Amino acid sequence: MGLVLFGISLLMFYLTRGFLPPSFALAPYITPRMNDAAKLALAQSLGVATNSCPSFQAFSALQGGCLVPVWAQYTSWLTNVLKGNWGLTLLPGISGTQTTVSVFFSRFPFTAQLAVMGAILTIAIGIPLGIVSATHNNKLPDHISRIVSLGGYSIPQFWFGYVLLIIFVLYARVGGLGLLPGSGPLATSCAICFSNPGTSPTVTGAPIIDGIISGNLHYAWDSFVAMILPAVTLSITSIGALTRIVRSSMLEVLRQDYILLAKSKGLQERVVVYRHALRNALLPAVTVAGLLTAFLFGGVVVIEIVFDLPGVGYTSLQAVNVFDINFVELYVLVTALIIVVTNLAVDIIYAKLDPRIRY
Amino acid sequence: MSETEPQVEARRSADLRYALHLFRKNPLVLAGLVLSVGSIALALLSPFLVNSTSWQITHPLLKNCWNNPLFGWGNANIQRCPSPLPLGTDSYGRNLLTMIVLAIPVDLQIALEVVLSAVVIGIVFGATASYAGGIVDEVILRITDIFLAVPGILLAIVFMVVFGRTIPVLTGAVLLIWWPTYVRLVRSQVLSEKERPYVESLRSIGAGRLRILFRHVVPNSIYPLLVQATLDIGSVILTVSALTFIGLSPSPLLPELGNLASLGSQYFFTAPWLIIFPGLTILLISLGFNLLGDGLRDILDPRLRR
Repeated sequence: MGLVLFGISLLMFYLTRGFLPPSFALAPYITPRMNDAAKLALAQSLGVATNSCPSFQAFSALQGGCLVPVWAQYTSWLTNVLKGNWGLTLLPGISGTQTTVSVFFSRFPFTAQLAVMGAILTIAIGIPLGIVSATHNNKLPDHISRIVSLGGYSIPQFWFGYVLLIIFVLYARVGGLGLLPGSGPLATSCAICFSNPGTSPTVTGAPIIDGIISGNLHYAWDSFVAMILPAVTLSITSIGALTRIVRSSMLEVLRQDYILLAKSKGLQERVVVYRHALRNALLPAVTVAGLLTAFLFGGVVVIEIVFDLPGVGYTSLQAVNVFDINFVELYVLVTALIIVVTNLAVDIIYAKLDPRIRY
Repeated sequence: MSETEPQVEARRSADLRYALHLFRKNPLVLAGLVLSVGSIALALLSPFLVNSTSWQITHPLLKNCWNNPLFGWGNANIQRCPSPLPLGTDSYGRNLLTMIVLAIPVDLQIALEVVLSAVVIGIVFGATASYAGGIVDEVILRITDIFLAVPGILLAIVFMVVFGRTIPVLTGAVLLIWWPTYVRLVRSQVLSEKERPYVESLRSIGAGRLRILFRHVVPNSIYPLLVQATLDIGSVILTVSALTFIGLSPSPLLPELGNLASLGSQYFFTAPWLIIFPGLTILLISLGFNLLGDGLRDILDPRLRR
């Protein structure tokens, strides 16, 4: 687990330090009033320039003897990063006024909320669909669920998001129908519902939770409704994946002898499926939790672009355009941490669910 | 005890006939075959169907010339609108249908390059890992672990920021996401295959390790690889188009399905078909390869033939 995180940090470090000019490493830490001597001191304290470097000009000109080799920069980079020293943000509008870490963590709860909603939808739809598909093998429900799962696998998420917007917002408005309650906030941009200072109490940064904590249930409900389409769009691919896994493992389990025994004992079909088969069939589904987390946290980038949501996915695209690499790097490392922790939790849960497994 | 040569031949041709029978019986696989082969054919024919340089020519006057006859809905106020184009024009004044036909080979080429490279990397490193075992195996496995613990799209974004927005970099970025899966797949296949009796008998007649590995074990474990590769062509196209859609396209003019959708998305309130048709093309291509891959798995997996 630690090894994986170490490897990811090494990968990120080499990608960004090894192939970009050293000025990119400096950019987030430079403040407007710094003179060349201060910049040189900064470069030395970041471990990018050697202590024997005569001047900042020499460093900028990439003079020999001024640059620390990339492999030797890793420890100073890692100490900085672990201390939380990610520099100032370069994002347009707030450039230089806030730290990358504060920008990231003020917007991350929003993204986490979206990912959690996506995960809930995935589990709530994927598992029942997989079970029904297996118990009605090669009948109509099976065909429907296979189409859903294959479609979810093949559909471009961004496109699905726009199609939902077109159906629910555009046509609902043109036809004068309010298909979803409060279709106002749903209209393309959540700028209306999330950036309205009068109604948006910010405690955690996740609007639904904020609304509940501050007792503004109307706000919480509005935010929830506004998140329905993004969450559905986000979960469509993982629903496809989960349905497929549950279906195949359920089919496998239903073929086994102990199920036949349970049925021949005269137990009801329902009892056999949900009490005897399901527990074993869900084991393979648990193992892909880490993969699904990766799916969801990667997917939010696209979803936040489509629905104009103020989370870290949207922000990292803005960051990319101004070469604020630290922001994206932070996103990658935080997500990787979440995925690694999920995988660890899966291992523990797996051992609890299946007593045959001992570590 | 063992089969004679003609018997083997007969069994093989019976197997083949049975596979073809399964193939014909399954309408979904046929649909997948039609869609995937159709898209490849369209990609190969596209230089003959449309003027392949037309994507560089923008018509400011035809910009937003949306008189889409399918929707019966559009902008009739522009004076110079030509006779109705099948799908109207995009926001650069280019014929949208032409752009889609030009975009299909671009996407398919990237997808094929990514999947083929991933298969080659998978065979080389996966086979090495499983056959060498020990520390080599451990190191290769840990490296794939590292790549699998990062959301692919984020890794690709970082990669493209560092190396620039060009088509080869885009291909490399997507390959970065896909190679670990293949290494693991080949590794597990070879591991299970090399415990089979035929490997032992080959060893007993003195065949070399590399010969056993690449002449016997790898070819015998190729079917799951083939299935996975077919399935992944669809997923790679989805990832590529998602990357270009979110703004990592090499050029805003480039006819690439995600990029076309991205151009159309700016006008989705007034001209929804500008995003609907490029996206639908992606869906159909990806669905085609997924259906084909699913069908191939059912047909090639002897356990399901009971």
